[in-house]
Amino acid sequence: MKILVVEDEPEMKELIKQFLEGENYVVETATNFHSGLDKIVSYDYDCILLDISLPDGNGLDLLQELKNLDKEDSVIIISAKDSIEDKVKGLNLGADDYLIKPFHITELNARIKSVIRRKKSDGRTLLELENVKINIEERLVLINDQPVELNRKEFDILVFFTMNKSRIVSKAAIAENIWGDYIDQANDFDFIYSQIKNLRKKLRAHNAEIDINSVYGMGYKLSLK
Amino acid sequence: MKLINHTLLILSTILFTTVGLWAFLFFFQLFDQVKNTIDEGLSNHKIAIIDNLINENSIADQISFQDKSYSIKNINETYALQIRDTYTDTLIFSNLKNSNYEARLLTTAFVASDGNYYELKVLSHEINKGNLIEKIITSLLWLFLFLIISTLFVNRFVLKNTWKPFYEILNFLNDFRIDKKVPQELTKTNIKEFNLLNKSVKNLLNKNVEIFNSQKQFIENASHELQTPLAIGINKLELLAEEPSLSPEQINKIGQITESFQRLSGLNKSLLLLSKIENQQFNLTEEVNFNKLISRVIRDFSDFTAHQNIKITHLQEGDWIVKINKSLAEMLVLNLIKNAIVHNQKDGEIIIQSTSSSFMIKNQSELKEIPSDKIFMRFNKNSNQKNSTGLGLAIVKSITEVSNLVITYYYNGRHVFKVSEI
Repeated sequence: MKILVVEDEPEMKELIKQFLEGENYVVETATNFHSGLDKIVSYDYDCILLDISLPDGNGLDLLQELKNLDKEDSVIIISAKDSIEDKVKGLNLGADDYLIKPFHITELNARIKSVIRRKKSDGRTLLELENVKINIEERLVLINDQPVELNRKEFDILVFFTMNKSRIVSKAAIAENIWGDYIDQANDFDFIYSQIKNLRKKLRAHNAEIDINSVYGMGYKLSLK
Repeated sequence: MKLINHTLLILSTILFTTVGLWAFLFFFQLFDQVKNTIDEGLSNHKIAIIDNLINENSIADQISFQDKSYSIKNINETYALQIRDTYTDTLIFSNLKNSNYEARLLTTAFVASDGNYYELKVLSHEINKGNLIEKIITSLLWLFLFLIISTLFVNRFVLKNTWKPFYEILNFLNDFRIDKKVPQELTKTNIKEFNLLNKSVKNLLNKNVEIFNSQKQFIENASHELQTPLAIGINKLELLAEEPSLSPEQINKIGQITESFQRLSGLNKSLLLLSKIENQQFNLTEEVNFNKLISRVIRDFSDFTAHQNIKITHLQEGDWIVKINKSLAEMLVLNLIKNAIVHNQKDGEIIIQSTSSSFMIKNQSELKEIPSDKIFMRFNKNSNQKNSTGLGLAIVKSITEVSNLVITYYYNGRHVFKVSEI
């Protein structure tokens, strides 16, 4: 899987690169509009992370170029600007997602995975983790091929965890991913504990080979047994 | 009191006192003059009488003024020589009128051709002081009336016109809002001072608007510039926490730092939002049903409230549909409900009452009443909620201001916030 990161902030760029390489992606980077354009024209990527405020141009124009070239690379816009107009413009130009800085790295991870998954799925969108199979479109979970009943939030949490397996997922990241942005300053995220507790109970009851562990002070981690 | 009336009052007071005093003086002067004229007449009369009498052989005493305007009395020489012409005010009883009347009396003495000395008293006709005063007062009243009418006229048409630019600038300043564009031009006048005032006010306002705008811009830019380093910080910490060599305590510490960063980021987002609202960057409006919005937000927070065991009751008495920016409406409801939840107590209760023209959120809290002029101020923290940014209600206030809504707060054992139309 090849990912292009177009980001002018060197530290941010390095950080994303390092993280994505850890997730076994092939990562290339561009720090400005022109080098980004060069790479977009010359190569195909599974996913492009696009910062829209670049020193020598607007990332949205890169998106337009991509469209003009009839390329089908998935694009996630990352922007420091929480502007509805930009978001609408970006999505209209064919971006697959829009992420506002600052974001949790686990959130970025989940978004990249679902963008890639959506494009490659061909109708088969099964996440598999040991003896747990998740069909995202049909919202079905099978453990040892036995269906497990999860409520909407438990299901979303499980998907978020499987996309970030063996990473520490912070409570804030879970809250934002499942409950939405507005909860971001909801003060204490302890309320997600009850959902996690139920999910954990159900996983154990069905002898799942995965488990959710608490990481004191940070959040949770999905681990393989 | 209006400026015009104030000057009018002073002017009238001065005018009427002066005229009144003048009338007084005028009366005495006039009266003096009248007396002089009468005295002169008496003197002439005296000469005529004496001329008439002087050659008569015998002059009979005539004590009373009964039928003539003078009296004559034979006197001895020594007494006569003492007498000088004197004019006095006197009261005379008139049989005709059967009352006293005021008159001037000239007392003099003369020596007749027979060598006898006589005292002569000559009486003037009646002086009617009362009549005179009455006449003067009547004419004065006419004068006053005329003055009042003319001052009112001057006030109504001349002064009002003259002060018009002044009232215009007052209205202008009254309507002025620093976060709105400086509106219409002030009308030009040919009065130098007013033009100067207009110019100074305009300069002052423009300067203030400029400062205000640059400050606003500064906040927005600063918040913007903070986003990227914050993002880098948070993400680096998240990656750092995954290092396998870390001890649980170290991970915990990283968690705490991450939390601080996140709080900072939340604060920053709220500041950005505030300046965006104030910069009128949300101007698309559509019809929003607050009732539905409230129900949705309550649902969104249900896990949170269930965890805190807070009961939310939504009394729906009508649909309130407002033309407003949808995102702003959402943020308004969200922040108010969030505020009610966050500052609630465990096992507390929130009552939301929506009608066809307003909605009200009443929440219990351990917090005491908050002064209503402080509650919507930025960073006015009334609790030691460590995660409260102190901006939520400031955002609410800003939203109501740009959306032509009013928010009121009062305390009646519960904290009550009411949003309604202006």
